[in-house]
Amino acid sequence: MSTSTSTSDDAIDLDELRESARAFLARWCDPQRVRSRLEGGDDVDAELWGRIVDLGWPAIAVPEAYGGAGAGFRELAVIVQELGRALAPGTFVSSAVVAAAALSAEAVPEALKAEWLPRIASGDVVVVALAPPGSPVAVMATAVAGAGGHDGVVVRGTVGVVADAAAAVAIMVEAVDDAGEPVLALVETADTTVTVRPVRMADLTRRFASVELHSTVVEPDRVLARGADAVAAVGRIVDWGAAAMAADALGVGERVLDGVVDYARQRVQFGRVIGSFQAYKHRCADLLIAVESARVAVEDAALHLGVGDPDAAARVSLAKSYTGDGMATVAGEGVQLHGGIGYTWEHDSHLFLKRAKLDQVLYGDSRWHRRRLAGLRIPTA
Amino acid sequence: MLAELDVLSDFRGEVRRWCEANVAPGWRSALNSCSEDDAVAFQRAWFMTLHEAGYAAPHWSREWGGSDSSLAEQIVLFQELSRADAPRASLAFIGLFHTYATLIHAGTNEQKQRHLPAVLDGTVWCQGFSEPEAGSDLAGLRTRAVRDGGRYVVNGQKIWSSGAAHADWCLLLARTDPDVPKRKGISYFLLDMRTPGVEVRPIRQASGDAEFCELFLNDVVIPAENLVGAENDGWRIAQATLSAERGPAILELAERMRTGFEMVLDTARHCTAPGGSPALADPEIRDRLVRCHTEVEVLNLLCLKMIENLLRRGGVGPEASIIKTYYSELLQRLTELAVELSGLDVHVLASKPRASGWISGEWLVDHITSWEWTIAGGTNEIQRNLISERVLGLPREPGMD
Repeated sequence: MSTSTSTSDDAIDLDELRESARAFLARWCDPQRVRSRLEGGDDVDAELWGRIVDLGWPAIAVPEAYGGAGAGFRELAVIVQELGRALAPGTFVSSAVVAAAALSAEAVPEALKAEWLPRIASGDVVVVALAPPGSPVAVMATAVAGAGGHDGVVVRGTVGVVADAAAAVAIMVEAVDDAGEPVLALVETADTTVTVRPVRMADLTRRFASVELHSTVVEPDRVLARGADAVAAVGRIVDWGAAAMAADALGVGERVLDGVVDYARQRVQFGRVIGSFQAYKHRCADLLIAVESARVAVEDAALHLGVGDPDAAARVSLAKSYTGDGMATVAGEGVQLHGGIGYTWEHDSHLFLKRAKLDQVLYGDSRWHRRRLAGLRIPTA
Repeated sequence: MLAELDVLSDFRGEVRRWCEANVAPGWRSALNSCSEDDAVAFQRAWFMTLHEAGYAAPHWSREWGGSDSSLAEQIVLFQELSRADAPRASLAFIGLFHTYATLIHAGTNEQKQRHLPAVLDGTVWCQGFSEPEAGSDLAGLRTRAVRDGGRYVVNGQKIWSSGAAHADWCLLLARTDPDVPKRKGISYFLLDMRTPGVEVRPIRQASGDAEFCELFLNDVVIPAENLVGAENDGWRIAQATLSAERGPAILELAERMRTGFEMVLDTARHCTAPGGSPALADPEIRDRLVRCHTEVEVLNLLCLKMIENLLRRGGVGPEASIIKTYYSELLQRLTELAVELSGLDVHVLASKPRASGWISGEWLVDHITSWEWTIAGGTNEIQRNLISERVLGLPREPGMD
């Protein structure tokens, strides 16, 4: 099946976007560069990010009123898929997809949107520190009287794994207040009470850090949302993040399939290329079925997300669990079908496997998403 | 595509009202215990009911009596028939899809005029492709057709001819030149099943039904006018026939899988989990149900995408093998889930209504029958060969010509 998305008029634009993204990443995020960053420091790839900013990608999802292009999720999904294919850093997803979606939530005060969305669009990195969906929130928010009669909060606690926090100028933190009500608060990393420590994950292609909040004071005008509004904003973060992880995993799966098929065509054993053995080619066929079926699920979620469709959450959970599990399996097959060489550090198979496995759990693991989907689609009586 | 479906609400309402008026609620149980003849009579009557409404041949052009429906209209029609749990026109299936695709692709005007309107009048077709020694290796077929002036004399044996016991005509592949590579010596014929020398023997299947048949052909005479396309060009034409069953026809089955999932839910509603709590409240069962639901939705998305690609590009590509494989294996998993939910009771022998499609709610029979789909129409192993060779470009097995 082709990689194109639909017969509608904008399909050509998406195909063009995909082609240009792939060409850009082939040039600026080639396998050698990915390799050189594995053992390297904990920095972001500032040069690549600068070029991504020059392309205008961080502005794609930001509403037009705040200096962005106001595009929907379909464009984002195309870019994220290509980033996954190229094993590129995750900054784009963390800031331009997830943080932009959180700030665009209806309840977020206008002043905060006006301050931060244009900064994201122009390349400043803002990230979200979120407890894994389904896990208790470890950051406590205590109310303190603030200016103008409004309450600010003091936040304290640690979020263990936050994508791209070391590159961020600001972090949106999910917390709970004394009454157990959720609060979403923005802190700046320049604040001396905010400590960001790099955390090396098995997936070495992206950067993560822990975020410690040592009684950080959040003024009232930095509180993004409280109560039901905060729940809605966190829901938005999970939806956009999960859909992005599904797209990332799809890109990984696609690339693994391509690599396996290339290998099958050139590796000779028993006097013939191994791709001519039925035992091998049938597994390749299964990889293709997995990738193509994940593709339609991702495209469907992307089509419905960000356009106010009440059914979007179900479609995202469907795509996230299906693609997360499916592409992790594909990436595992990528190791197996390369034989011994596929298990070496110098071969890329383990990079794809570790990335797919992490995509599978970020922004809600498959069990969490299936449970949410079941709640929306499977009656209880 | 989605937008198109939305603007078809008038058509949807029309089909829905028609279903309410014409689908007898008790049709399954009425068929459950009736005789073979009554079942065939029911099929013929249901087909004519569909045809009178203009719903039997939505994919046919108006020139040949079809409705020339847009793809979106076909989808809406399938959705509504499926939603109403209407019977399938299974006896007419080969005529509607295979015969039509073959004759439109390669038939003469005379052949079209003689046979296409007849399909809509109720002529039943079967397929004479597979042979005992030519299953997955279909091109290795041995049935011989020898030209003798204005006619061919055919000898050989066919197998797995679905519905042949009730068929009036047969789409037949036979070897006309044994001295050339196997794909180049096959011709495509239209065989009148009443011709002397044609003998049909039903085969009892694993499900207990006897829908598939063996076909014995002894000195069967076929007039040369019933050759389709050029002599020895039959293999190429057969691809059009086979693509018909892997193309838009699968849409109906994908839609019916959704109804099938609703039936699984209904089964779960009446079951208890180990420990005695309601099955629908059991976390493990809910997880299995939601996985199944996910796959059913993915199947529908895959079908829509394939159809969109078809519209853009024309013809049926090798990606149809992806759908066939996915559909059949999902059918197996879905019926397996239902069987497991149903426990011991489902093993009590039940017969299955004919025309029910592949999901009747008699779950054990449905599950056994699901192997028809993973084997028929090219086993899933052959589909995986096609996918790896024609989509991924991997080399053929050495020695497989």
